[in-house]
Amino acid sequence: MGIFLGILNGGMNYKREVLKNGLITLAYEKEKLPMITFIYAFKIGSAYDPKGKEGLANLTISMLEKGTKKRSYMEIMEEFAILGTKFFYDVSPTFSTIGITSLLENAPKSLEILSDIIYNPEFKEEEFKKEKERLINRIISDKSEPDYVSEVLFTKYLYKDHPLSHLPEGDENSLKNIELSDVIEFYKKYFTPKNSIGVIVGAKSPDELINLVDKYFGKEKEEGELPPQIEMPERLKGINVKIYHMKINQSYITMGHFGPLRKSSDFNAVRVMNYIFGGGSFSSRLFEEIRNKRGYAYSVGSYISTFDPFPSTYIFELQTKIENTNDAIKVIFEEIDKIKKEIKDKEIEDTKGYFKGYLPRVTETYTQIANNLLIQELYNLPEFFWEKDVEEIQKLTKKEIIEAAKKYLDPENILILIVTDTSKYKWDVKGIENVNIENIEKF
Amino acid sequence: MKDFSLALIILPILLIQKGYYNIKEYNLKNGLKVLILEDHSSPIISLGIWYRVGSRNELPGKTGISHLLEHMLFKGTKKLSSEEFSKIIQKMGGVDNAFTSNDVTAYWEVFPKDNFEKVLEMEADRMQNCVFREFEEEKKVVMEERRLHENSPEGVFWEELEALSYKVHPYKNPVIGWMSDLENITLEDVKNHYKTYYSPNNSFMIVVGDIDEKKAISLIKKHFEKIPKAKKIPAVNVKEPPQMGEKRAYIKKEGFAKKLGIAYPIPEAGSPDEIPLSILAYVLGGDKTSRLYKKIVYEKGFATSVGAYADIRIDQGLFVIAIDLKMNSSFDEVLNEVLNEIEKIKKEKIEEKELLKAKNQIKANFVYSQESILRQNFVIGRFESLKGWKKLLTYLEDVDKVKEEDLKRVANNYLNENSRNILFLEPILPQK
Repeated sequence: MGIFLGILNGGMNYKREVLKNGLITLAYEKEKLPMITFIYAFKIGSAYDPKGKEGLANLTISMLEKGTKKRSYMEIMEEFAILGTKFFYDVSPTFSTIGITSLLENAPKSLEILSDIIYNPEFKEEEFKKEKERLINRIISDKSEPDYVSEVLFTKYLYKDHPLSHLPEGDENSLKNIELSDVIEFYKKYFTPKNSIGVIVGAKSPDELINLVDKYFGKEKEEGELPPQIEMPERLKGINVKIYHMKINQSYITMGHFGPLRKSSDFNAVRVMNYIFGGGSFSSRLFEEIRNKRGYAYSVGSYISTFDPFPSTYIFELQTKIENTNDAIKVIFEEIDKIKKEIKDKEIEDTKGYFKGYLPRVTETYTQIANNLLIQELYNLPEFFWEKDVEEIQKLTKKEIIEAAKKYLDPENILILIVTDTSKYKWDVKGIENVNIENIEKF
Repeated sequence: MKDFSLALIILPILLIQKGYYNIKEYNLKNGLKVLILEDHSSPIISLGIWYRVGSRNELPGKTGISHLLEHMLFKGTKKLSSEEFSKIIQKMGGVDNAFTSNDVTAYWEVFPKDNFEKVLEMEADRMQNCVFREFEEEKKVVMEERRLHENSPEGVFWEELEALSYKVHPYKNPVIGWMSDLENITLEDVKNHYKTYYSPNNSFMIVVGDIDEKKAISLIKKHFEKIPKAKKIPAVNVKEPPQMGEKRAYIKKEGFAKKLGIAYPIPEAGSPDEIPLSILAYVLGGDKTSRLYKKIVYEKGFATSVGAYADIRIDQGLFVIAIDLKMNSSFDEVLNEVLNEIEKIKKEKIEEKELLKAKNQIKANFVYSQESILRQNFVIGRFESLKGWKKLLTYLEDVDKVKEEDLKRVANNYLNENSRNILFLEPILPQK
């Protein structure tokens, strides 16, 4: 088939090993530049925040850099800056990451500092107060941005009372409820090597890379706990329209429902279908109908965010002048209907071409490779799943792709969030019956 | 502090000496400059065509025309239908897009290497044969893009800061254009803009990736050399007059965002002060160890973030400091802290470590930027658009030469009361 298989390289440049302390370590040799990228991922995320203390996982991660037994917060930042090392962290609903990108010559020193941050945080009260205050104020300020407001509200109403119903940062009220002791307890319970994955990509052999990780992250640490079991969220029933007022001159429309698990055998069929529907940028149907033909929106598209073991979110979104709102929503419903009935051979051929050619582009950088390997381990996917995915995509039939549309696009059980100036907007989407409309009063 | 080494990073300079950024330059007969960088680490190529036209070339009443034209270049040629260019790139497994800035309009693609000639053929076609389909629809798309800016305090803030900081120069206008101008721009205007500025002698091409340089230039010549050069490209002769004192503007926007911006005029690209200004910006607000972050965010807790940068442009640029204040913080207190820190830079010792951090970060980022062939394309393009790509080869050595007195000199020369522009964005709390 002529698919690019450069990264696999017979598996010679890749190794997976479980260190003595339980840390699963994946190492990949990439020679292009004298640098490394290392990601340390904890299998704990914002879905595990206790009720009323949403934002705890995020606050815990952000406290790690704020000082260790050996170094103050500013000393850590100074050392990274002198080394030219990039330091980053992030929290998703189901996992959290912290890592570095460093020049190879500074890799041992950078990893030593990171190890100190992860294994010896001091959690000083003064730093905690400052960081909590900063995060609360950041959230308040972000509430001025309609896209942030849309994300918060859509997540809230899609997952209702489920632990996935908040963004990782929580909100200003839940953050106020979090004490330093909550952070310390959360850290001790879940931030352990046995509950973590290390991924390193760099210009050294896989054995040398594993040794580096072992040297700085292989130490024994107190046993923690496995994250608790969380029930699956309930699927939405009916067409639920939520309208929220902001003084803006567009409607921010977010529509969607749950999608497939990343591990699902349907996942690649849904990817192909979604590329044709709204994920394929200039090539997608939503782009053609909403942007090209009608000039309704600058940005329009659909995407799937996975949170295995919980269902993914499958979202369609756009922003348009208020008077176009109802018609834009109607077009999306029409396009959902159409793709369940008909997909052209050319659309499938073009989409397969896209995935066939895109591999070297999405495995080009150190960070891309590290993230791919992390997803492989987190979701228990086959080794180098991205190559196998492409092979599978090439074999998909039209019937399988249409079936994916029928199974995973569900316009009868859907959430439609419209953030708009409600003094200028009234729901009136022709042909969409039995709609539950609610004006959201409280953010 | 234990085991803390103040080592100067030298590796990136050695990389340049070893042949990283081994760029080859060709100049076609019609004036098209071509820069090629072989990078065989992945079987892909990035191609960029940069036109030397942006908002700086726009006349009153026609603001946003360069960006609107950029959109129209995706609307097909005699050979290709609307959006077909991008669809072909995507079918290869590639990705493409474009951007417009104050100074340039750049089109780029990343695609598997076997498609190089096809992409060249398409780019040569759209340099001369665009037919501008669906103009009114696309204008609406751009107006929606503008509304996105208007709805965001962030978008409004940056637009107002530029408008405040320039009096005469077209840089005072947003790249996306003013709404009334977008409404009034005609198809004829866009066609004229295209005819005037889109030519081989007003553009340059950058190729980075898995291709032999000789083969690349031969194919580029085949597709581009026959395109005629434009006769005369209008020069921009507008000069911003010296500022005659501090300017302040107060704006309000519904929401919860409180922002403070301070902008000082700085010299155009190519000035010897350019690199010292960039390092000064880093020392003041480049990261969490910078003076302003430490003082305003960390110690005083007045703000949630702070940033500073030297925005170098073809004509007069800006040294910008931007701060996101907490709602209950006072503008006066924060402004005083910023101005105090600037005065300290001028009068007090700047630690060697502060300079070193800035230099090491710049150099390490230079290595990281080579991870991706698209980022390399953008780095080369930015250098070429401002002062010529060859400056890239000496850039890191020039960074190393900067001394404490250089920072003091540029701070004294440019960060002054009489030339500063201060913008206050106050939130209007939403009414329930």
